[in-house]
Amino acid sequence: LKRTKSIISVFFHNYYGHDQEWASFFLHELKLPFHLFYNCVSDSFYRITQTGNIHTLYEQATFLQKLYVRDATNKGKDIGGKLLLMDAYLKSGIQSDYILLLHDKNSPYHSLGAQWKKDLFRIVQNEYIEKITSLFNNNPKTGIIASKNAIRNELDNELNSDAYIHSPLIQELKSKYQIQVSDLQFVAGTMFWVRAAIFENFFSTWSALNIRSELESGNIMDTEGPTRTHAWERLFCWLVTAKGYQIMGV
Amino acid sequence: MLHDVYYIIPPAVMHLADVECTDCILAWQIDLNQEAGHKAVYQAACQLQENIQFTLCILNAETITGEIATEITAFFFFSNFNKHLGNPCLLLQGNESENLTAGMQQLAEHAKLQGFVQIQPILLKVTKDSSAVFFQASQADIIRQSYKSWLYNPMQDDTNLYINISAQEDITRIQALLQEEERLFRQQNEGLFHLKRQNKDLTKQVQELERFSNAAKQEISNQVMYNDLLRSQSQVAALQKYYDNEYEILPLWYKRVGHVVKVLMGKRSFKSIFRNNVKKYIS
Repeated sequence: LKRTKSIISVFFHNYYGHDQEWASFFLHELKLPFHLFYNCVSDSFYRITQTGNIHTLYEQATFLQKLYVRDATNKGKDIGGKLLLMDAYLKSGIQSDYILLLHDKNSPYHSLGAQWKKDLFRIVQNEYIEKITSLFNNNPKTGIIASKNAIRNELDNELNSDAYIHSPLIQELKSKYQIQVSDLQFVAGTMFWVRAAIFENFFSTWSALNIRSELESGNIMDTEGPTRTHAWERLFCWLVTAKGYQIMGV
Repeated sequence: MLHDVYYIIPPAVMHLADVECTDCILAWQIDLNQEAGHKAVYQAACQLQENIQFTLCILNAETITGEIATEITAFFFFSNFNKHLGNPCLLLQGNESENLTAGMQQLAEHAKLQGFVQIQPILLKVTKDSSAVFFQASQADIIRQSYKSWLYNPMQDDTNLYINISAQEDITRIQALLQEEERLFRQQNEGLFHLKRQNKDLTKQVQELERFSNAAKQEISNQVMYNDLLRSQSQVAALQKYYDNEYEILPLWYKRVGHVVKVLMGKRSFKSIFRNNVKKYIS
């Protein structure tokens, strides 16, 4: 039987707590069947001091198929969390049409952090979800859909110059994971929709947990030089575009 | 319960339907000599209620490979995996040997790469001189006697009970038996019972406060780093560069026409083009 509605798997990485508010967010925004993979950073000060619980979502959300909660160490920031959830997704054996990557972005180190967050979360708003699914349906070459304000080109990176184009680190990663980068576009902030099959294929070949084990610990930044974590922020998109798919903005 | 009780689940009873075990810990047995045993356990763990704690009981841990070590660390991320101060605790069945130590070292290294400071393996032995003795669920009388002796011992508080089960009903049966023993102990030794209970609760509180303290220290250090970044010139420089590239390089006549366009669009007041002492932008 052909499914009439797409099923999505949402990967959400939580560092700042407020589980109750996030439960309410998913309840009100997602109006199509979804599996929620929810990663909590266990040693985060914000999570230790919060009182909420994401499990309350079960009692209310009609569209929620199943909730998978994981409790992680702070490794590779949200990238590490999303890799961990990818591993859980593959092991769970469930199948989806799309994967939606999200996290509770806060960027307390940046003066424009609040605006970034607003831009990135546009892709979860009801009015855009229909547009996003039709973009995927109408163009089979659409691999990723993100907020148009979050789509960057590494060639325009003013702060890091060519750290993620020619550095030994990025060369090593591209060669090890056989990613032939043809287009340097990526989604800054790593919040986007992706065709599930593309990620499933890649991470079935390359263990997501092994990739996570190579990432840096703690709240690392790349102001002093490129990091593996920030390199994977790019590679998440480049592994898609390397297969001939495109990144679209809404 | 005053002592932690672990029920070791063999592969034959892996899928537990509506198990009642909020006051005990389930330990799924994984024999590393049997291929893909861990995959079935992972599926079973996904179905377990979040308020029930579980761990793994590993057989033939000396044969562990890098690939299996990665698969086992995947369990440590379950929110209900048994941890002590954030470190995963797991059970081992076997005999002490160099190969077993090497296997555990390999697992510890994999766990460390995933951000766990260490793992806490508990080797279960059949000898009675060890604190980690395990029983068969069929030995109800022996279990009851041992538990009773621990309860009445004013010093012994950190001993755990490990029980091999052969059917899901064993959990309910043994739990009822141990609870009954605790009820009798409480009836006869109210004071000692409360002291033991308080000791267990306070130990837990100390652990939670230690976690809180470590997290607070880390957060303060993060905030210091964020403040340094906000005070640094990098963001201002990036904005200035953006402004220069997007606007400043345009010819003067083009910029002036742009101001007229702003007036036509109602974004800027007409008078402000000629005078400095009027409100410039409508918004």
